[in-house]
Amino acid sequence: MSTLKYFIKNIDKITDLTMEHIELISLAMCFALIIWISIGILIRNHNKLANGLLGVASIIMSIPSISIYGILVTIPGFGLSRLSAVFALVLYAMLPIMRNVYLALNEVDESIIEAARGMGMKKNQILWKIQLPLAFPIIFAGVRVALVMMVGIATLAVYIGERNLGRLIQQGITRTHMDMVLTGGLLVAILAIVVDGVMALIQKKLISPGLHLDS
Amino acid sequence: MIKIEGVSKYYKGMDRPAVSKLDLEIKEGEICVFVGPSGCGKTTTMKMINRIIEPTNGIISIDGKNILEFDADELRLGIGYVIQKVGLFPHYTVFENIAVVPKLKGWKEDKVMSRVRELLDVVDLDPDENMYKYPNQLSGGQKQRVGVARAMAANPSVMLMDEPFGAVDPITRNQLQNEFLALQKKVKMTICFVTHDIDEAIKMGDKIAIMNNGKLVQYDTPENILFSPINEFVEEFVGSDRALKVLNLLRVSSIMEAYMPTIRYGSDSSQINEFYNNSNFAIVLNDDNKLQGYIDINRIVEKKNVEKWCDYIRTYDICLGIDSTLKDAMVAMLENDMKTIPVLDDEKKYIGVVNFDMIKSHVGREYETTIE
Ligand SMILES: Nc1ncnc2c1ncn2[C@@H]1O[C@H](COP(=O)(O)OP(=O)(O)OP(=O)(O)O)[C@@H](O)[C@H]1O
Ligand SMILES: [Mg+2]
Repeated sequence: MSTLKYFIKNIDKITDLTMEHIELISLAMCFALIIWISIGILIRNHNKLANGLLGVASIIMSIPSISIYGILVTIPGFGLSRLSAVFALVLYAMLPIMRNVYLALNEVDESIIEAARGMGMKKNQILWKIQLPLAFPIIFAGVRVALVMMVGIATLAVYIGERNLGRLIQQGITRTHMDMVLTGGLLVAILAIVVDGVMALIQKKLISPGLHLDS
Repeated sequence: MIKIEGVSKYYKGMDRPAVSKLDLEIKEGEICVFVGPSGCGKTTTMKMINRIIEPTNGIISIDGKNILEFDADELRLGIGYVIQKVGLFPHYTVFENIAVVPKLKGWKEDKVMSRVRELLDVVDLDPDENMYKYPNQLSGGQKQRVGVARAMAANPSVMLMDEPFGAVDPITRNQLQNEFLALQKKVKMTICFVTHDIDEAIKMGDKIAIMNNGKLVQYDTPENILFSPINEFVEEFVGSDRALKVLNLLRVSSIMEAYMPTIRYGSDSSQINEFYNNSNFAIVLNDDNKLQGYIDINRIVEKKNVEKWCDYIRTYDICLGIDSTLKDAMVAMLENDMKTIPVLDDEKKYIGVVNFDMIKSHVGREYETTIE
């Protein structure tokens, strides 16, 4: 009850923090999409390079986010800035997005590519009209995972100067203000669930009905 | 016309060539069927024609022009290609699949639409019902039909077909073969057709190229392959049942006779009496030569009901198309326990009948004249 009271009393501030939260992950996701999808496409036919990069991505994934933030702020040019926060989130998106792009493109049935080639489609046309659309469900699943993950990891960016829902948790703990902690925790969880739900809806809309197995 | 001169293909890591010094010429408007045991180089040969695979040496030309002089994608736009595994694009509807090449060629939208409809009609799929389906909503046979329609979309003069009717049941395959032959009779493409089924080769081919271990063993008409095999390999490959295989080669149109008396539906009964002395049966036709059925004249006369002969018409459960093979005819006779089966033309008009005796005597003659 008191949590609800706290929430209502501070609704303006909380809305603000939520917006900041969304802004950060949106920004990070934009960069992540551009960078990792491009790289995933570029490495699709270079297995050795791809395996190397996937190894790096797995290592990054296994580093706790707090230490990534810690390392980044020591690097000149990054420091306690939004750049560090965004960069860390982009790094975490490397594995789910780049890996899925690479694997999905390579999983497209050889005979379909051959049919496309035999019909006179150019390499680029095959990539954009055949391979990417066919790989899209898997790529999208990777993006969805990355996005939900970002919602959580972004909370820790408050330690390097971000103002977002993580701040409620962080300050709540230092002030032992439980309603504040609970509000922050619940909102982050709800945000993650909502993001996941929205992505599920988009997924349904965007994926060609021909690719749904059960139609 | 496709000309293959001294073409060989060595794959990396193979000690013998997949295709070795191949020489052959496929004439304009003909179907050349490549047939041979698995791994003999059929697919490799075919893929060299549209440059999916580049030959190690030798020259391939289409209509007198070396295919290397074309831009590879440009060349492929002009060649219909049906691959072994169909390879429809799963994220495209039937319409979009068939429209790929016309769109690449920059056709206008309404022209693409009318062409797709026309093609679906050609391969016997209802356009309205199927155009907006996705491949995963089609049966195997329907997919193969769409595959063929897609390859033909932009009126290619050359078609490459790698076991196009491979993955369907024998009945559907037979039907697809017949439809395709009827179609080919109209559009006269130059076709390179791969199969490992000698029966299909005999039925579809104007010429058959038998391959083994990358080499061309015999390149000849189906008749000569059947009756003058060049060596033991061909003889064995064709099999010992040549007399039966001949059935696949001959069409009902070549033996069919119009000897059965016909009578118009509703016409005067005096005709029945005329027939009575020389025939037991008569075919009943509508005014526009559509088949109505047949009558057993003896029975009508026995019943003393000649006036009302129209009440005694029996219908046929099965008819043959003009492109049916004698094998189709035999199968139809055995399955339906009938000795005589009517033959209809493309517009379903009656043109004659075949019966068992006609098949027997014709095959016997064919066998004798070609075998010496
Ligand atoms: N990409 C490739 N790399 C190496 N060897 C290949 C390649 N493609 C085919 N071969 C080999 O070349 C030979 C001929 O293959 P091809 O696919 O032309 O045979 P095919 O006559 O079409 O056989 P099937 O009836 O089984 O389809 C085979 O021995 C095969 O193993
Ligand atoms: Mg093959």
